[in-house]
Amino acid sequence: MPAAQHDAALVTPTIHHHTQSTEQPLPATINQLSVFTKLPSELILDVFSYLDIVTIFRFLDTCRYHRYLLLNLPEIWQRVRFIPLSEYSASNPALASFTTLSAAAVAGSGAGAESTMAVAGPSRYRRPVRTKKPSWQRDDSESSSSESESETGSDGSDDTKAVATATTAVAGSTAAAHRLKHAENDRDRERGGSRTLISEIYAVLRRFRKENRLVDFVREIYMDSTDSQHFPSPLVMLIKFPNLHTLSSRYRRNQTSLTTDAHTLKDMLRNGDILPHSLKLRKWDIFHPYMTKEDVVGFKSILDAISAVGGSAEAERRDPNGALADGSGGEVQGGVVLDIKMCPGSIIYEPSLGAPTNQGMYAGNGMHWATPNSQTPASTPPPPPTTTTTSTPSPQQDPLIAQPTQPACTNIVWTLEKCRVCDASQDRCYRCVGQCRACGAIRAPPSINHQTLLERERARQTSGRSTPSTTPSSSTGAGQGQGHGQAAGGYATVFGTGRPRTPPGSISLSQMANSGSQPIMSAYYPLSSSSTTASAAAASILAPSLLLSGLTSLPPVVAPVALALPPEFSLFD
Amino acid sequence: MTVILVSSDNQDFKVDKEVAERSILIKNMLEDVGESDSPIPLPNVTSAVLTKVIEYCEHHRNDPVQVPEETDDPRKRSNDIEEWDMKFMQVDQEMLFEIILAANYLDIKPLLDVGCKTVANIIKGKTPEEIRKAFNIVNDFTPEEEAQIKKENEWAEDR
Repeated sequence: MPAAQHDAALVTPTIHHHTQSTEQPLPATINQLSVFTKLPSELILDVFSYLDIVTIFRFLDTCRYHRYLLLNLPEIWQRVRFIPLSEYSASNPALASFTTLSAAAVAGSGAGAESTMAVAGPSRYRRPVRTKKPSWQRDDSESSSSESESETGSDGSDDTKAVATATTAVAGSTAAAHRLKHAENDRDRERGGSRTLISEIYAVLRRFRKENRLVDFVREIYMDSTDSQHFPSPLVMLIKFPNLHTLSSRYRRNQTSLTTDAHTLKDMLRNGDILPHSLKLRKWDIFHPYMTKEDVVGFKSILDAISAVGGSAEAERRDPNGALADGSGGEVQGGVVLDIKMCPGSIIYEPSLGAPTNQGMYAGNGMHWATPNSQTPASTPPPPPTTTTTSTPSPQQDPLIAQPTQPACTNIVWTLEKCRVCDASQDRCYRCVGQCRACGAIRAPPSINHQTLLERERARQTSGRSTPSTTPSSSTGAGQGQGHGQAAGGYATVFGTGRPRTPPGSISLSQMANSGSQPIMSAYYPLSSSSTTASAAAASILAPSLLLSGLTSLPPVVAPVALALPPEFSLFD
Repeated sequence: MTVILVSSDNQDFKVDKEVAERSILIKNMLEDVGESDSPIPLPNVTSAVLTKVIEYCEHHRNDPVQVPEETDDPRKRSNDIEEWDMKFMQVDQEMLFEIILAANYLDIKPLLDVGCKTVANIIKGKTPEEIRKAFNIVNDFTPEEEAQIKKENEWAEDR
């Protein structure tokens, strides 16, 4: 087969079912090549649903049959999942210490391209990557090499002196380049090979092209927790994949700015880079637990302007009887669905809610939250108001219920926000509604709430692991408090044992409480130089006046360190 | 109450009904047939594989029923495997894929999930060369195709 035909076969692979009939049948020996020939398509899909897109492309490059197999399953390409760079090193410890690409880079930098290929063999990862040298070095080596080649090529009886000079120059320059590259790759290795992974992620994105029609298959992209400045922006995904209807970019605290994104999209719309109502985006999950004040309305309006579903939303908006005319506070309805909304403000309590239990201060995992303004014992939190009047209870009557702000509260609420104790949905921010309406527990800022939920999930899973044959009643775990039957029903469905993902950069409660010597690496808890251990860090942020009861219910794995309000508690305003 | 399962190589396995009913296929069959001592033929499962499947069902006989919606969201799909399951799946690849096929046939969703996760974990984090080694795959790309793949994956600054 000519090379051009090979290229065409690779660039426009057999990705459509309707083209299969025209394909040549696979050779009979294909069954000996891969065990994946045994699995039906639905099981192949099931296996690859657990894998990220970089790994899928790596699998694609293993052999022709695997390429044929995956490219004939459009469902595989409908959901594209990127995982945090740290998960690559976690899944393969070898990658953390020394990636193949790094190895190739080191080999290539010292010996030159040809010798590297000879040493490393035909693997695509063995090619000398990042062999870019400083100009003064590059010029020297290239000119020296060409000199030596031309001399040896032109005359069989070489001038040995000139060759020796050229060889010395090459050796010197390659040694310098080797040192430079060695240092560069050392730094990359220290970061877990992230430089090479980022490069691979961009290569993967480039492989979604219109020519091979892979780009048209993508419907959903999940890039949660990819909070790296080098990682492609969600806007890139938005523009690159025309049929994208679900985008998830949660837990990207440092890289998420709705204002910036809205401005960028407005510029693109103004310049004609995006046509109005041209994108098929329907849903964008963008929440991170530290998102408090953002221009949600502006962001949503520009999304509605560029998305096809936004057209109908605009029509509703113009309609006085439309979704926004229902007095639903700051919640923006219609158009692109976001997982965040503006808090509609303080709640009007209804008598049917009933009195809360006495676990108002419960923080999950056997810990209790302190009450900033309350001098009463934690075991007897004040009951929530049961009035139906529109007046908000005064702080003297109930310090846990915040006063309504005028104008309406502008805090951001995650649409999936749950009570960390009873899993009840929360539709208002913790400032406006200070207590869970279902169980009466004091609410915490989203970051703390999120962290506590993760801790509880972890404890639940740990208890499930310790008793493999768990029954629904026995899998509730210790220290969960009482009176949350709804949560107990939820526990019955969970029996995984893996640790839930902690948002990057965050610090877990058990990490705070454990008295190990492991230093805390957290961007969210600025630690002094003296507070280098978990216990010291926890002690440094604990205020003695905020210690509360309930410590006796701590599970044995948790050190007896009382939990009080972390610094963020006072910052979420 | 016990149930007799017959493998494809005509070997009988006497198991508790509770254990056998981890398989939705068998559960439905028992519900359809009603109280009966007649053996249940499983023509697609060999005795070796059925032994493993029964071992898994015995260990997980008291597990709660998994809610299907829980794994619909890809963000909730975790590759984590319980320790016992991980040891259980430490078999040769031939057997691993046979277990997956048997779990699919017998409709044992947790076992199918564990099998798929195990295969995914074998692939995860590996380079193409390492995947080839793991699955004993021959690299049958031509030099031109190799060059094309290399070009597709090259660094932007190398262009």
